[in-house]
Amino acid sequence: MFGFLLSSALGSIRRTPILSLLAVATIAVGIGVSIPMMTVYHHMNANPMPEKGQRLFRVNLDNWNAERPFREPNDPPPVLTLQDARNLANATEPSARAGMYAAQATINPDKPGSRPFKVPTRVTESGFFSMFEPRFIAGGGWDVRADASKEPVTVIGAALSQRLFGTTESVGSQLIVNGRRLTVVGVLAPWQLTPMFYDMQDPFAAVEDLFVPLGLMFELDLVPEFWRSPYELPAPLNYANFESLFTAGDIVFVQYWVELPNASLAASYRSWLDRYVKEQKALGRFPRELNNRLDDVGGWIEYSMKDSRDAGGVAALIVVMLLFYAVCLFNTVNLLLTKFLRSQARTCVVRALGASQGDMFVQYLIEVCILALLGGLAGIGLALFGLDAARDLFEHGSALAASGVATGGTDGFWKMDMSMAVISVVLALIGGCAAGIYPAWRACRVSPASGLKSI
Amino acid sequence: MLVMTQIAKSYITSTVETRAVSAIDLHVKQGEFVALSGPSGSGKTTLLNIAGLLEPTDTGTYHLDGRDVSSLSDRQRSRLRSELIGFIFQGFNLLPDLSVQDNIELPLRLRGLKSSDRRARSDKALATVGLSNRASHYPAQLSGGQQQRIAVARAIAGDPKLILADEPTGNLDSVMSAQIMELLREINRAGTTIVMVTHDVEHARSAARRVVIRDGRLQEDSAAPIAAPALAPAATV
Repeated sequence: MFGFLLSSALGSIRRTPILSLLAVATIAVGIGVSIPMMTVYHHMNANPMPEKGQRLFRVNLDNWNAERPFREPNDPPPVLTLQDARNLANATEPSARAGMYAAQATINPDKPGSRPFKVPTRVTESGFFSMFEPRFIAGGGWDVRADASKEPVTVIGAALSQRLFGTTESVGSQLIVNGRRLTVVGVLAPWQLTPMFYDMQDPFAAVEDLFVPLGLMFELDLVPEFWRSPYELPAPLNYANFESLFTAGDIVFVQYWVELPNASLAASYRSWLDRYVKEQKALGRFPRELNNRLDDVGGWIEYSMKDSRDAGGVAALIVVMLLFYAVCLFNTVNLLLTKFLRSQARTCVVRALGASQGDMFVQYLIEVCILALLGGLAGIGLALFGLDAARDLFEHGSALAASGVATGGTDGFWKMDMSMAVISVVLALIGGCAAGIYPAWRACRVSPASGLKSI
Repeated sequence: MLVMTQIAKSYITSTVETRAVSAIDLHVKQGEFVALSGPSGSGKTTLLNIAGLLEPTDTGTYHLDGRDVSSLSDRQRSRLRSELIGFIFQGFNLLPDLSVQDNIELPLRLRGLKSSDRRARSDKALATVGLSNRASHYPAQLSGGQQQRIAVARAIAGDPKLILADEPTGNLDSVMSAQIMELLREINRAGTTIVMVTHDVEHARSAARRVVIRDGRLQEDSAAPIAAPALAPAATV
């Protein structure tokens, strides 16, 4: 019987091609518009470090002032002072660690006639490379010795290497960063990281193209892009007082990550942090209640995104897109109703010849499922087009695009993976079937005697 | 075969209630050929639809082949329809996108018969109506008379005990009509009960029994009154 109902459903689609096409199109448009935003949300909530995510921890200590928290209700600042970062660096517990921040550096190309340009820069330590394991095309990260001796070294991205040297094999080459000559020790392969969890000031930002040692921050005048002070600064920040303010004051700007290979080490490090803050309290610092955080990658992303405007915006957009999908489905209901009621005479004949209401209902639902499946597949096509358009829109004019290098650095962010493709089809099937239930029910309820006069 | 007792059926629209048939008692024995006639709107087709389980009754009882079908579910009525009844309609009601063979096999597929069984039965039915050479044609490629013969073949392919024909010659010329009537008489002679609605006086006279309906009531029945047969208990289908 199922075979008969299936062939009847296919026959019905063939008999009403325009209405069938319109039903497929409305479902496809609904899916095609909703899925790109869901894909972005999906990638935003994906674990960017699936293998090491539970071993890497973000450290937050609350040395904000006593009057108010850094952020309501009682969140500690997401960054540390340089003094605390240095103190933590001296601790032996973590197997790897790195302080870091984002800055803008100016590069002076060595080519005659080339103009200086700014590049997003990550100022960090050697532990960054061992913890986050970016893939290198050539060379590697600098080592702990280079951190300690403030060696003038750098790691650059493939696009920047191509732009400066015309090749990605630029290890040993030199470039001038903020007036200081640095030697390239490693070239990073295009690195897709969404969200950019180690920073999270801008989860959508692309991974930086220039990495320089934290020890060179004052030498290169690399002022952090994000910094806060719990107290009024004694003087406005300028390059002359940059080092003194950031070394001695309570300015927070260092994002601090540690690698703790197992839960017991994590618990022990947490206790050590508490002890550290208590010691600092005894020295007159940390006026607030003990309020440390030690979040693994997943926990840190969730904490950072909990009231992020980006996340909220995307979530709101998803709701709007789903409402749009609901409107599409409402139109699908009307189309299916028209389609099914048009074939009422035929239904009456088949009913008269022995088909039950249940048989006809199943046949209509099979038809709806086929249309929904086609709509889902077409929707995936539209969604891919939408994601492509979104990537062009958001990445237009970026350094990657300007470099002319097909880095693919953030391609994955705008790509639909298999799970989203499956979700698209499932969403189409659920929506399509939901839209088809009422028309199918109406059509199969018709009295067989009512349409036997003509076909 | 068919025992209707005090059958009534009304159609209610938002403002008007139309009584289609009222208090009809009709008993048809196995193997009878009954012609239902009467003026337009008298309730003939409604009675035929009730007999064919296409419409429920408002009141009264209906026993078909010994079973009380008054309170069966839609699935049970559909099953009985496909097993016991063959329909012939005035407008043929062949599905235009199916071949002749597929049209004939349609009720057999709904009964769940195997492909080989269906093919054997449809071939036999086509041979009976003399259109074996048209199996792969589509309805639009056939004349009206041929289409009605295909409809007859569809009705008899399942070996039904009862054939309900609603003005089977209404859309045919006299020659074709005569052929169809002869075909029906042949089927009846083989033992199949036929109830036929017709406006044609000649065709009505050619039936063994003539029943006239007027204003929803049974006005004339050429058969002598018969006692209701002993009924089997209501069966679950």
